Amino acid sequence: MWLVLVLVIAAAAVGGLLALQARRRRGGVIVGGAAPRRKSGGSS
Amino acid sequence: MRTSEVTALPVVTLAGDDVAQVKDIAFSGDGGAVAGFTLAGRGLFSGPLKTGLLWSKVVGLGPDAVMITDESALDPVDDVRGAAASADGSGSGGNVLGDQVLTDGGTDLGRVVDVIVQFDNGSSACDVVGYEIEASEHLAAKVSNASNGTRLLVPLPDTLAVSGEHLMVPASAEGFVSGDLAGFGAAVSAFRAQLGTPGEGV
Repeated sequence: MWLVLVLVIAAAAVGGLLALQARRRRGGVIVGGAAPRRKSGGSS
Repeated sequence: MRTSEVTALPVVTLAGDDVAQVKDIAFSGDGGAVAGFTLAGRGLFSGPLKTGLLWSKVVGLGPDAVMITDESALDPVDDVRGAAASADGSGSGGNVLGDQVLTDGGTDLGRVVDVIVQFDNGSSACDVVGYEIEASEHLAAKVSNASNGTRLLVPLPDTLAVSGEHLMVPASAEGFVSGDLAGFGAAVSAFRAQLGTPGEGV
């Protein structure tokens, strides 16, 4: 039981880390030399 | 060429070393010239790099890689951002993906989902010539076989107007909207000729 719980938590942590990393690496098209700003609901 | 086809391309030296991958495409709001790329590392856990790649240092841009001579072609990322800044230092609009496209008559054409660039490996220029948008109801009603959300290509004038969340285009751009990239070069040329600016191919 505890082993399953630990495995689930570890999988969730790795998944979250990969998702965060994918977000950091996601590209955009920036104009005027500004750093990409974060948008709610849109691509960034 | 769509900028989405460029992002995540590997940056490869002529010696064959894979040194980075493209993250952002930076262009100038003054004339739409692509200034360069910000970069990310190639490893799974590597994030954005502090180095960027100026367009002037690009040897070749193909469907599978961006070619540079060697790692010395990379510059600080601030140099790329500086090259993309307007001549007066203003006009930093951030990421245009997701921005609303408005005509100078105040009509919403849709939201940007991709950006179209024109370049020739034989020349030094790479310019933004159009936006791919998800059409608004207004624009979809004017284009045959289009509905709300259909992806359409809007040609841009030689000088772009970008501010905040909105991208401005002349109202006459509505008449040159294209559904496919193959015929878009002709639409850009015709649109710019109508505006009185030099036309370019895609």
